[in-house]
Amino acid sequence: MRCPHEWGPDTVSGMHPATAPETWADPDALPLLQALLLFVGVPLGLVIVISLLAAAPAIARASRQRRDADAFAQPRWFGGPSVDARSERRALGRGSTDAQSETESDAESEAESEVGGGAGARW
Amino acid sequence: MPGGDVFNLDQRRAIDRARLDANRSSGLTFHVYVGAGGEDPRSTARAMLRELPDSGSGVLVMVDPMGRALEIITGVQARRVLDDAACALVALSMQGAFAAGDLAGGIAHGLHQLGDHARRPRTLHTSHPLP
Repeated sequence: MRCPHEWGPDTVSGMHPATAPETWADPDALPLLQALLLFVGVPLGLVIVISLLAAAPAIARASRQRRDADAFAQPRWFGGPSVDARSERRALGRGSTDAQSETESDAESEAESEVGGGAGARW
Repeated sequence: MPGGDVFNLDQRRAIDRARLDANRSSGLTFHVYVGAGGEDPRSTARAMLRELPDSGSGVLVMVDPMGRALEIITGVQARRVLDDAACALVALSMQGAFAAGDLAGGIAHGLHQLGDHARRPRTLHTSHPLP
């Protein structure tokens, strides 16, 4: 076998030009509508799908918050005062004399000053 | 789950059981309110505890899920056995559970912790002999 530096004119003339092989298919040109669909429609569709996937968690969170807002619209007590007990106490307060209401208001203000320990947090 | 109720039956039972356990172990009365806390949740919670018949020995755990606020309010007698540092510690623990989305679990666990912190020490020297 000869080395490349030994190649002569006879070797170069024997080489084939760089054209597409004849065995390759030669399809007709795409119609305009089909070309638009392929080069515009498909990328646009991909962009929409990826955007939706990216926004899905935020959409789910928003819908969950809406659902929670509906659920928490009605407050829930565990071991709290019943409505009946509250109304009874209110009724008793209304029927009391002035002296009694004064005593009650004193007791309430005392209780107000006494309540207050604890802690809070936000999340 | 009934409409408008965010807790299912098991969760409601777990919270109630935790509350009763805490009541039993501490001798205090625990109340849980889950709902809107208004502009100032702490003031709202204090007003709610004052409304309760046993506010002195009561502990109110108020959770505002929409406002993302938690308040633990103790009455004057309750504060003697459940100090503010213990409440802050429990609030921190509950905050973590709420941030992870576990509302019912956070409340139940928080009640257990509050009950443990407020547990009455066993009296070893009494006038009555131990059985």
